[in-house]
Amino acid sequence: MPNEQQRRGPRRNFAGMIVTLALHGGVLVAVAAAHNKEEVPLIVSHDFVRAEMVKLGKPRDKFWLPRITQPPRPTAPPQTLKVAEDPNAKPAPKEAPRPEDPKISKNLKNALERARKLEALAADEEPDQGALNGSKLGTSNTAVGDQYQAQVVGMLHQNYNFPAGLTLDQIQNPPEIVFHITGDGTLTGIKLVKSSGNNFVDDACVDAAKLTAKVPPPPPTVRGMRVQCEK
Amino acid sequence: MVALVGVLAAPSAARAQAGGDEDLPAVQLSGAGVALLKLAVPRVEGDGDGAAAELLSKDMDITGLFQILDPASFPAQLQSEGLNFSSALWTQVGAQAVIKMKVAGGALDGRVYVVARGDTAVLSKSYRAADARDAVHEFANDVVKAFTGQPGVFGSRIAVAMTGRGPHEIAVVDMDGGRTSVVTKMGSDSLLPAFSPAGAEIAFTSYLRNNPDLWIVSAGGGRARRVSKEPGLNTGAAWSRSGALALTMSYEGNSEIYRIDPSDGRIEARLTNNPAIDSSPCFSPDGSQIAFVSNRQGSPQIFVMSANGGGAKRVTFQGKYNQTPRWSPRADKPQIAFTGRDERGVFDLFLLDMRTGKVDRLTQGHGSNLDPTWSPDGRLLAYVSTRGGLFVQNPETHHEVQVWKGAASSPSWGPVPRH
Repeated sequence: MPNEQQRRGPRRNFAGMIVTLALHGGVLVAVAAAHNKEEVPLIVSHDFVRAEMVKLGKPRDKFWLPRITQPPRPTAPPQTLKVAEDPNAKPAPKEAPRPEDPKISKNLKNALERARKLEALAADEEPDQGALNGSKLGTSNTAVGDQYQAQVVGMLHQNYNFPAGLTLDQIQNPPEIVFHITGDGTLTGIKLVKSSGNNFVDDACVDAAKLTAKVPPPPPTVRGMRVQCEK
Repeated sequence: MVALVGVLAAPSAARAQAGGDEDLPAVQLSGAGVALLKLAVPRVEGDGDGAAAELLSKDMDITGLFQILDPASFPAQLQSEGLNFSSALWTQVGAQAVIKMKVAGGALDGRVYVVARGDTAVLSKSYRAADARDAVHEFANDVVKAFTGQPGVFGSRIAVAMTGRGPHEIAVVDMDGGRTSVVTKMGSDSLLPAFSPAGAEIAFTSYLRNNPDLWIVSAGGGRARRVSKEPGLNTGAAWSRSGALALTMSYEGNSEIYRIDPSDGRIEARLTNNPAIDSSPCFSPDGSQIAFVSNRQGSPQIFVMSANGGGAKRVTFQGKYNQTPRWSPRADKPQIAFTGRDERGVFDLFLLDMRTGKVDRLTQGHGSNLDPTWSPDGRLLAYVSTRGGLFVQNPETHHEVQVWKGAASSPSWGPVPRH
C-alpha cells in the first residue's frame, strides 16, 4: 500500500516541471528580447571637442624652419559610435528607499504637494527648455542644443572638402543647404536653398551632408538643420 | 500606454512636420578641406599610340588638382563609349569627372563631363593646331578653367641652366617637360636664367669673357648680347612686370643690388648700400618692392625693400640660411617662396605668407630641393631637386610631379604665350 508521500510524488514532479519550463521560457524570451533591442548610438554627454594626439617629446625650437607634421585629413566618413554590450555586466544596485522622515508633518506634505502641482501648471504654460540629457543645475536652454549641433557640424566637417584649385576667396556668397534628421539620425531631404554661384562650391556644401548621411539621433526638439558653408 | 504616448506626441510631431525649413536651427560650416577630384581620361578616339590621352593625363596631373584614375580599371564598355557619356556607368568606376577627346587630322574635339551633373558636357570645344601637343595643352587650359574659373598655364615654358656634362648652357623646356631646346651656344658656363615679362628674351649670366657678365638672348635662341660687363659680379637678374631689370653687381667692391637698363646695361640706380652681401633680387607683382637676400644681420635671410632702394625689412626669422626668394605673381595672395636650409643641413622649399609672416614647408624628406620659380598664374611652383630634374608642385595640395629628368639648376618660368 503506497504511503501519502509516494502517492503525491508524480503530482509534485509535474508541478516542478511546469515551473522549470516557465523559468526557462522566461529566460529565452528575455534573451531574445535583448537581442532584438535596437542599438542606440551613443550620444556623447559632454561638450564636443576636437583633439589631436600630440607626440611626446621636446618642443621644436621656434628658431628652426618648420617641418611637415600634419597628417592628411581623413576622407572616410566617420562611423557612428556604438557601445559594446557586456553580457556579464551586473545591473546597477537599486537604491534603497529612504525611510520616511517622521519630522515632516502632514501639513508640510500637503504644502509640498500643492507646490508640485503649481510647478507642473507653470511648466505647462512655459515649458523648461533644454535637453533630455541636460543637468538639473543647468541654467541655459541652448547649451545642450548647441552641443548636438556641434556634433553634427563636426561630422559634416569631416566631409567638407573643396575641389583643389578653388580658392576659398572665390566664395563671395556662401551657399546654404537644409536637411531633415529622422529619429535614427538619418539625413533626408538634403537640398541647396542658396547657391554661391559656383557649382563646385555648391556641390561641396551638399556633399558634406550627403556623404555624412547619418548623425546621432537628435533630441526631440531638433528635426533638421540649415547649414551655411563658409570659407 | 504606448498608444497614449503616441496620441500625446502626435500633435507636436504634426506641428514640426507642418513647419517650413525657415525655422530650422542655422549652423555654419567652415574650414573646408581640399580634395583632389577623381578624374578619368579614357582612351581617345583616333589616338593610335595613346599619346594624346597620355599627354592630357600628365597635364592634369601637373595641375595638382586631380587624382587621375588608372584607365586599366575602366570596363571595355566605357573605353569604347567615344565622345558619348553615361554618368551612371562612370559613377561605378568612382570617377567624379571624365575627359573625352577625339583626334582626327589636325583637329581635336574635347568634352568634359562632371558625373554629378548628368550626361551633358560642362565643356565641349574643338581645337586645331599645327602640333597636336599644342591642341592638347589648349584643351587642358580650358579644362582647368572649367573647374577653377581660371585657365591653366600649359604652353608656357621654363628656362633652366643645364648642368650635365660639358659647359652649362641655357635651355628652355615646355612646362610639362616636353620639347627641350638649348637656346645658348656660349661654350662656357651659363647660369641663372630669367625670362623677360613678355617671354621674348632670357637674361642670364655667363663666364664666356672670364667674368660673370649679364647676357640676354632671344627665348627662341640665337646670338646673345652682353648687357652688363662691370668688373666682378653681374648676376642674378630679375625682371619686373614693367620690364625693369635688377641684378647683383660688385664693381664697387661689395655685392650690392642695382637696377640697370636692359637695352644697354646702363646703371639706373644702386638699390642697396650695406657692408654685408646683398643678392638675389626679386620684384613684387606690382613692382613696388624687391625681396632679396642679405647677411647684414648675421646669417643669410630674406629682406624686403622699396623697388627704389631703402627701407629694407627682414621678413624671415627662422632657420640660419634662407635664399632665392621668389615673390608670387598673385597680388591677391602675397607670399614669397624661398629655399631654406634646415637644422639637418638639407635644403627645402618654404612659403612665407607676407600677411601673417607664417612660414610653411613645401618639401621634406626627398633630398634637397632648391630654386623655386612661380608659374605665371602663381598656382604652381617649379624647382630642381637632388633627386634629379625639374619638379612642379601645387603648393595648395602639395601634389608634386617630376616633369623633366635632365640635370638642371635655377629654373625660371616664362609667361603663357598669347595666341
